[in-house]
Amino acid sequence: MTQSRLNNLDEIREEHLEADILIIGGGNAGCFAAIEAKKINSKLKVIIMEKAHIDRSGCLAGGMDAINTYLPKDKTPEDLVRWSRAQAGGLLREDLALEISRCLNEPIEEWERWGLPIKKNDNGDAKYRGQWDISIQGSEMKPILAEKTREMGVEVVNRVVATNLLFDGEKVVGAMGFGVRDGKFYSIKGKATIVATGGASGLYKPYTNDGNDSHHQIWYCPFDTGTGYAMGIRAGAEMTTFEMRWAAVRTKDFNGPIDTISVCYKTPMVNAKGEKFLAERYAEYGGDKAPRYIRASAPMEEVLAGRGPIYVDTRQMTPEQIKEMKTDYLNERPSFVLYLAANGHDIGKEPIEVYGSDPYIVGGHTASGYWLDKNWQTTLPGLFACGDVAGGVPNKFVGGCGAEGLLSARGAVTYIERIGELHCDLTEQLSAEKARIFSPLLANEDGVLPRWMEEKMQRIMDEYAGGVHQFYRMNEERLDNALRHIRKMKKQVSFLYAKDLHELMLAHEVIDRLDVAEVLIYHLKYRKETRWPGWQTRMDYPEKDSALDCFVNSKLNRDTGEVEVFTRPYDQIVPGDRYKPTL
Amino acid sequence: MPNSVDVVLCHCQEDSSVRLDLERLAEKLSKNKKISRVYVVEHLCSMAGTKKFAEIVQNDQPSGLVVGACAAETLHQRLSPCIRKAGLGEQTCATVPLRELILWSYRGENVLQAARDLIKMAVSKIRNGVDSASRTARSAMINYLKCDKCKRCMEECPTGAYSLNSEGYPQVNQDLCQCCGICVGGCPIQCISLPDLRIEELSSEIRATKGDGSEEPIVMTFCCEPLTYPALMKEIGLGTSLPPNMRIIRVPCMGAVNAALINDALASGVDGVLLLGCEHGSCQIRQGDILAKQRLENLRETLTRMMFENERAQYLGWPEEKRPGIFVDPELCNGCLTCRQVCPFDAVVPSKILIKGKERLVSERDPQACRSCGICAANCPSGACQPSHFSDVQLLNAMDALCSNTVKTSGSDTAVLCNCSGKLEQYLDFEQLEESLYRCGFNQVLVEDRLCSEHAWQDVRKRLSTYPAHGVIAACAKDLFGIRMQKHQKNVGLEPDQWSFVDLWEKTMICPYDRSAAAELCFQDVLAALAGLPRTNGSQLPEDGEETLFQQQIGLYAKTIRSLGPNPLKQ
Amino acid sequence: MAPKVLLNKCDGCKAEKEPLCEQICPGDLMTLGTNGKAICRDPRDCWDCMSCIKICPQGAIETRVPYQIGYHEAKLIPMMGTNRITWTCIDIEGNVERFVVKNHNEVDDDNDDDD
Ligand SMILES: Cc1cc2nc3c(=O)[nH]c(=O)nc-3n(C[C@H](O)[C@H](O)[C@H](O)COP(=O)(O)OP(=O)(O)OC[C@H]3O[C@@H](n4cnc5c(N)ncnc54)[C@H](O)[C@@H]3O)c2cc1C
Ligand code: SF4
Ligand code: SF4
Repeated sequence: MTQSRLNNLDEIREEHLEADILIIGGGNAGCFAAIEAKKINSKLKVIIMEKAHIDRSGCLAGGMDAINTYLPKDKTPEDLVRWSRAQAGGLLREDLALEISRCLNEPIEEWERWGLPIKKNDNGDAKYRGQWDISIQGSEMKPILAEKTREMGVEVVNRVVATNLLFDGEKVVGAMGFGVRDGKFYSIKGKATIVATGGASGLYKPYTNDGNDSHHQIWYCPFDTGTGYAMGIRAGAEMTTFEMRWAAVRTKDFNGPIDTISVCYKTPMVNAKGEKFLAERYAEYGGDKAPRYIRASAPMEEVLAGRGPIYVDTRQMTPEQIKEMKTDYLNERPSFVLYLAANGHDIGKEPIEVYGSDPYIVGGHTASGYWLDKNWQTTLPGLFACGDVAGGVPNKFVGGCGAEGLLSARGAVTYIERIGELHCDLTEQLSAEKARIFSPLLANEDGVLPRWMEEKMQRIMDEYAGGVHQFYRMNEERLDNALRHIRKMKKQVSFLYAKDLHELMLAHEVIDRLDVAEVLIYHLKYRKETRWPGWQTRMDYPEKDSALDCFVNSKLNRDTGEVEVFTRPYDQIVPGDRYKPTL
Repeated sequence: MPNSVDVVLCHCQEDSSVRLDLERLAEKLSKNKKISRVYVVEHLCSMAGTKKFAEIVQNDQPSGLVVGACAAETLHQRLSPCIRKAGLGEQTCATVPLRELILWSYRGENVLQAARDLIKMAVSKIRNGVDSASRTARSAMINYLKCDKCKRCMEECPTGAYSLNSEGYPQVNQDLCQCCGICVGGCPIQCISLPDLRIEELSSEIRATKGDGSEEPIVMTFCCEPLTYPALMKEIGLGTSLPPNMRIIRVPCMGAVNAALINDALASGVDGVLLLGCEHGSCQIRQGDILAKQRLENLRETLTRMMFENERAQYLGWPEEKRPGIFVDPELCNGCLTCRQVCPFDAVVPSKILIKGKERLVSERDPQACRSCGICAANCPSGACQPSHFSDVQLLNAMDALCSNTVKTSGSDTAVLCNCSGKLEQYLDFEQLEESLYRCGFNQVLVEDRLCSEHAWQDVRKRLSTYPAHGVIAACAKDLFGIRMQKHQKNVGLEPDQWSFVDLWEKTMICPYDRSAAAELCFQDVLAALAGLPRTNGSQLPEDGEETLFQQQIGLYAKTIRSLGPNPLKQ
Repeated sequence: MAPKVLLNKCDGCKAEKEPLCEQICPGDLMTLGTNGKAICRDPRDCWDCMSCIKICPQGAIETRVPYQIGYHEAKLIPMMGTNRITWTCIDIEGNVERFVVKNHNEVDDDNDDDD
């Protein structure tokens, strides 16, 4: 039942739990981390703290039709890293990427044993639809994973939103949050904590958002709001490569994935003139196999040059292929099929229009996120990260995020063996966080609704920090503008008010997004070059700068309240040209 | 998961050689990669047959077993010790009533295909089963890994067997659970099962249905254990033929049919789904039919929105047969209503009737509520209540006959004994039995082969020297085939109402090692039967040319489905 | 996009405090209205993952495409079996398309066309 406004903080009931390992976010990576921890030592008490219900939370809520990276029998982890490195414009954590590639197939093989259907070729091997990706029928993959998680004896606390981490000195010892259903204040202590809250959507205004019905007509899961990053940022964790935003070509108006169409059915992108512009104008980058940022920016450049709209040409597809493609969508984003029907769109006769999405921060696709050590520990001792929230390794997708779940759990289990029991006094942190969490329920009703602040932030980011309406373009002065506004908004969060627990959740979502947005702007400002056009297009510095061939990292200085940005050198392990997918 | 499944087919001599080529069926089945081995055994229910069966099971140690034979209880009782001994549970072994379904009820060309279909369905069901070891509970079981505490089971359970445990999960009180399956049918995430009702198993059984390969629509029919399955079997006994591709799935109650199963059936290309349950709440499992209808209505609304002919999924209410029940003689009833106090089912209805011009209070029975337990009869001070087939007079007569070893003969009493294609005499001394019967006063004793066939009855007709006043038929499986024999009798011009039934085969198998002792046992039964014990098996034969309700209703439904054409989801 | 609750079919999950659609929605959007029937508290916030539609035992929810991005009126209706979904899609011209999609491995997966 929805709780309405509060009279005072004492009305709030509290729930204090303790675990060996606390996992924040029971999505794809979180569930795999929990299962792995239990597998290593079934006596460990593992708790998942999940803002929704693990049966259908996060990116996998509607399903998936492909595992974008799955190591083929005849390829090595090094091959995959080489390809991934080129796709990411030459920048990734090779040490981590190699580790992930080595256990990349493990989670998917498990999933299949638990019931996930994987499409097979005639030999009974997984059917590759592209070079690295296999087709699955994953509409129920999340319930399958969730059931297994419970079977392993993992304790799941659904409908509890994490808001901040708990500390014993420097060490992270759990997290706090609130129940969206029961309205309680929660603290869950963990000897080790794994953050797996996914990426951040809703930082930018989507072009579909007319402030009305289509607010969440976006590609990334709109309920992953970057809390995982924000909790780390507020605690002074080191973050990496936020400036490598993830924007992609998506089906126009619906913002649906197009890999299904273009990779699986080899349908080329064409402009209004019918030109296969990737092959014609971007041959040096690999044409249709160009890095993803090129594939994201090229169509937008076509539009700017007056050659829009852009399509994927589905007219060559056979009726059987069309049916199969729609089935794929039904496994991933079922409503795309509905969207086509609602437009009376016969894709055998008319091509599908595509357009750029709003930018997201997604560590599973690009390299944004926590800076990690080799055990998947963040720079905050006791805090591990996996999935879209973890930084350094792009092109992880479903399989890589799952594999990171395993790796982070292994790191966390080893860590807790070392540290022993927790003895710390958390009273002060708890009361401060409780007051912070519930203040929107106490705040003056003549204040600011979370929704207003969210829309303002999205518009500011869109206009000044290179949103889709600006064709992802930005310059120093506009970024400064964005920063000024975001800072002002951050000062105004005390005016946020919520009428019920759902709105309380929305309030914290916008608070978290503001923190992420601020750091993002710092990163964008620091990289005075254009390394990944589309993802990061600096109009004032249109070229690549070899001096910036390194990681850009940041950290909040908790004493000054300033975000400090610095670099870390690139460490090449896998030989070869970093910009070429193969040797 | 059982992955080595044996199939044992019984080569019952009756007609089978004519209509179903068992050898070819076995040959086809043995090519199926899901079936490990196929055997054809003669007379599974005989000593020799059972022994052969035991050998097969011992040697192969299969993890699953499908028996294609007749559905006689006898068979089940005889085989279950071997099955248990081999470590197989009830759930890893299925019986397909090949004789009833294939030989008696399906007509036409594709009998072989139909038989294959039925066996394959059973094999799929078993392969998707879980080991019996994990199914020891005698009540509904909940998979707590999936349950999301929606509590619908608690709301719908007709006996209030559900309560919540400390974590908010539903739990079942074993003492209250009557295994009706209503919770199984209502669970939105299909996480409840009964020891012998698991959605996964039924679903795989349904999906294995391919039909007999003809154009005829495939109709999946759910029948309930207490009412419609026995009713259907009786119909089959009467000679009613089923639509060629009608397949039967047994469930405890229509309330146990989960919508997901109907969805599965439609998705796998089944043309029609029929829920054959009781009519307006007359069911013993209260609410089962009401819930089933509500749920089906919901589904049908969705089907309509899907622009899918909703006629394909239908509920058919089967009027409950009036039980023979309790007979109250209004002349004797003194209106004391002692019966009302003792009746455990609240079935006594006091009513006022006119007797000889005077209004009197007498006791009557609500036929829906009365379960014929007879407690009222035992307590009735005036002797007005009598169970229809076990009246005091009948019981006393039978006791008399047994004590004195004689019957008060009417001068034309006849016994017809079935030797089951010459098989029974191995275990039963027919000569001794005949002699005893003649000695105690029977006028004629005839031994026949295969009484379940009509030509045997033609023979009986010829051999009868006098038209019998009363008769006893001693054969097998009286409950199931009594009606079939009655029909044959009638066809040869004998009045079926005057005959009583004895389970000769079953009785013999109580002591199959001693032919003489078996003859003695059977003698007593035949004697008692003639002296007054159950005269008919409670079923009325329809008038000639009269269509049974079943024929009408099923015929109509099959016609509707045929007119709709194939299921658009058929791939 | 937005879920639309068919009021004649929703039974409020039989007076359940937290009905199934509310339990499952990843965005915390479904809830019980004062009439005892489910409502979506903020249709514009729906990601149309269709989880609520798939789980509703009454088949009482439909997804609607907002007019801003689609015309009136198309339907996409999932029917959940034990390990497959049957989808029916009806476009604005009334054309019907059907899909039967397996979503869970089963023991006897492949067709056994043995003879
Ligand atoms: C539409 C779409 C299509 C995709 N298609 C493919 C594809 O075809 N192939 C492929 O390989 N990859 C694909 N991906 C990428 C892939 O799904 C993701 O990269 C991956 O699943 C992310 O896993 P994760 O565990 O990090 O995040 P999620 O699975 O999103 O998990 C995050 C979890 O954290 C929870 N959470 C968030 N905030 C909080 C909080 N404050 N407190 C508690 N819990 C919280 C969320 O509810 C969620 O359960 C796709 C992604 C999307 C969005
Ligand atoms: S799940 Fe369906 S029946 Fe239950 S409340 Fe929601 S819409 Fe109503
Ligand atoms: S479709 Fe998904 S996001 Fe929308 S209301 Fe239903 S469960 Fe929630």
